[in-house]
Amino acid sequence: MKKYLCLFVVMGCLCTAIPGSAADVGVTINLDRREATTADTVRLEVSVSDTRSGVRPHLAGMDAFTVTEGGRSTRVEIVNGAMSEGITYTYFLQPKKTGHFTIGPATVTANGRTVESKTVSLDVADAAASGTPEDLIFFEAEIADADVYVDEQTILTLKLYRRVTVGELSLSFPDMEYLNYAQIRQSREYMATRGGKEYRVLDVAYALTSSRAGTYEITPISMKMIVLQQSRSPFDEFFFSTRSGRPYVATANAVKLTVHALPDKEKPAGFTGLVGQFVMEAQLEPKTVSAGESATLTLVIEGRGNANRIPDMAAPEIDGVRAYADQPVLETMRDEKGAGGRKTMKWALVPETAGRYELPGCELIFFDPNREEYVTVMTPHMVLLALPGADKGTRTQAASGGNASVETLRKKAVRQIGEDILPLHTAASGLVVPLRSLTRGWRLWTAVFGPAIAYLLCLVGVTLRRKSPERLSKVRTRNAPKVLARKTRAPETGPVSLIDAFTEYLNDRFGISLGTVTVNDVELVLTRQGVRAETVAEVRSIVHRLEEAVYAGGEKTQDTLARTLRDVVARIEKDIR
Amino acid sequence: MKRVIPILMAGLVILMMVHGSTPAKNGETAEELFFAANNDYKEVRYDDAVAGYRTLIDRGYESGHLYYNLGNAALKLANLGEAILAYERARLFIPRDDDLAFNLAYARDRTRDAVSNEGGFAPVEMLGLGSVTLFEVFVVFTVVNILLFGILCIRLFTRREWTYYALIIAAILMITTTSAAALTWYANIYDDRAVVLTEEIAVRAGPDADDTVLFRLHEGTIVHTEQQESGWVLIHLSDEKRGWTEAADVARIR
Repeated sequence: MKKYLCLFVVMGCLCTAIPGSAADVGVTINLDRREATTADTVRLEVSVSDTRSGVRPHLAGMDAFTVTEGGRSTRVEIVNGAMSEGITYTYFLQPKKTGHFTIGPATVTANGRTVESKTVSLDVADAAASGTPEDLIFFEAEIADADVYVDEQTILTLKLYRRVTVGELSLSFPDMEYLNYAQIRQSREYMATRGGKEYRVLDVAYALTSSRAGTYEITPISMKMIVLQQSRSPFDEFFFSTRSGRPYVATANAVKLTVHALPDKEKPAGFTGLVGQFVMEAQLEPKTVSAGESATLTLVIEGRGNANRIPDMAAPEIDGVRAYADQPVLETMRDEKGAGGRKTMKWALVPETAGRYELPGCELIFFDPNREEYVTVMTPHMVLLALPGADKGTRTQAASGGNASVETLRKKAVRQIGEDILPLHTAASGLVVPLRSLTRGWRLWTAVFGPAIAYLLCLVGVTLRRKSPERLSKVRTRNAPKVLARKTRAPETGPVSLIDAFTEYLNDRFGISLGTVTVNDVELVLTRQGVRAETVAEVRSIVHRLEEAVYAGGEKTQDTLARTLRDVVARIEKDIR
Repeated sequence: MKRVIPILMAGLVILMMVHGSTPAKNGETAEELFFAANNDYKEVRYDDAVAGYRTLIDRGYESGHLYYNLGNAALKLANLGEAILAYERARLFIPRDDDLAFNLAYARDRTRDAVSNEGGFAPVEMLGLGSVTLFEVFVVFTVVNILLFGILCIRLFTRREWTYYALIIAAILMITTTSAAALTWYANIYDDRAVVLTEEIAVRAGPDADDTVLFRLHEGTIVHTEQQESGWVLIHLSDEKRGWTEAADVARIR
């Protein structure tokens, strides 16, 4: 049950929220005063009731006013269950002239039905005559020079005098063809006294130029603003601390400007429309380079006037010098005296060969309004000196006497003026080809295979020599001590083996063939070979001890005998040497 | 034995060199003929100069300077084909001679057919061996050959360390020079280039005067020969145009 009750309430609310029908639409207009001066701003409110749709009213009788929209507000009221709603449009009217004016009716068309409001009247009196102080706020325009040439700039100064607080300032110029305005400085504010009253002054300045000759009346120059008014209600002041604002348009006095055409008489051929005062400077850096390297030519044109008409200068054309241009750079400048600019042009100059290159001066033509004549300025001639460097085919001769001037000789390509063959070869040696015979017949094969064959012969000879009895005997003699040492160091070497090893040593070392070594044989052989008697005695002793070890089983260890035998053999070798 | 082997090998080289010297000739000596021909050239008797140089060549003398002078004399006689032939033959002996390069270029500029005149053995040209003669390559090969086997012989008697490194270096040199010598040798043996000697020749589809003329060549043009039969030679150009022409109209460079 509760569900159905809620649904019913919601539906009811939705139904009451549906806008009223067009039959209930009404329009009313209301002015905040009935009398005003040309310096006042009148507030007009147009209320459209029983609608919230964006129906805009059409207002009649507005020709005599400058109309500024002040916004709109939507209104919804429920009184004793009856709901009313509407939109209120606010306009600010500034009278353009004096007189009695009827404002309205306001007309609204909704759902095919048109509803009109009543009219209201407003009496507008002259602000000065009525004693209303227009001097609360006024706007002035003044021009520095009202008699100029085409494209000559003159300074237009606009001053807004005010004794009230304003905001949302917006300046507008009349849309006049051929006139151009350019602000030359930031606006500034200061205090000034007029008629014994102190004003706050807003001062802005513009450079004014005309591109066509003629007489111009520049009007209206107007400045829209919101004049802020302190609320008179202590309640509003306390609770909202707000200020109400009314739009206001201040119009400056008309300014006359006479523009003369530039004189055709004596107009130079190269004139590009540049008007003002300009200077031109050229700089070459460095002035001396090596051939193939670059120097920079910088040209600067600077001045006050229509700097955007400064022409792009052509690259200097010099035989033997290549020129590469940079993108010109234009910098505009604006100050109290007007607008101007500075254009910088640069070229990289690369001399191809060594030499002295004359750079022609650059020419600039402009019309100087102050002198009322065309002016031609030239940069001085400059000299680029290219020394031999990258270009090895050039030569430079410096003049003697310490003079800075340099005379150069530039080489030219050799031009062939005749053709013939080169002469004979007459040396008798020309008949002989050195070593040519190496490549023919048996010499060829000898050269190819001779070394290999010689090597093979050597190899065979050496091999045969190595295997001869004499050679083998020598080898055995040389190796006899080593063989003995190796055999006596073998493990488990018995006395018999030691005697055999010693016998083999003697046979190999001295080229003999003893079957079994005896003390007497050893003594005889060693003595013949020149071994000292002491060594022979030791040999006899060791042989004797070996025999004892073999036959009688002596107590000496075998290692001791083997070591003693090696020592004895070493002494034998020493004695023999 | 250690001393005998190097002496034997050095003697071998000297013997070969001595045998390669100029032999004595009949009548006028070779030098006299050479100077006489040069004198004829200077006195603008180019015919006599050509005859003198040819006599020397017929007698077995061959040298770059002799061919160069012959080319000069032929060029003075406006025998472009013979001049280019002589210059090309001179290149086999003195490939780095500046005068020869200039005169050969001069002569080539006067030929009428736009065909490539190089046509040498590609690997030889790529390896830069075109600027050395076969004799020069062979001399280097011989020296390296002796060096290699000399070191091997030394190593039969001693195995010192330096002999090992010397052997490796000699082996590398041997491989290099053997390859160079083989390539140069091949380029000499299989050089099939020939020079057109007559002012204009007709290159035909077959070895017969009635065969269709395929194209015409002019004096001084270098062609490649393939085979020869019955007084006709099969030639082709660098761009693969092929045909037969009379053998007498062309002369092989080698």
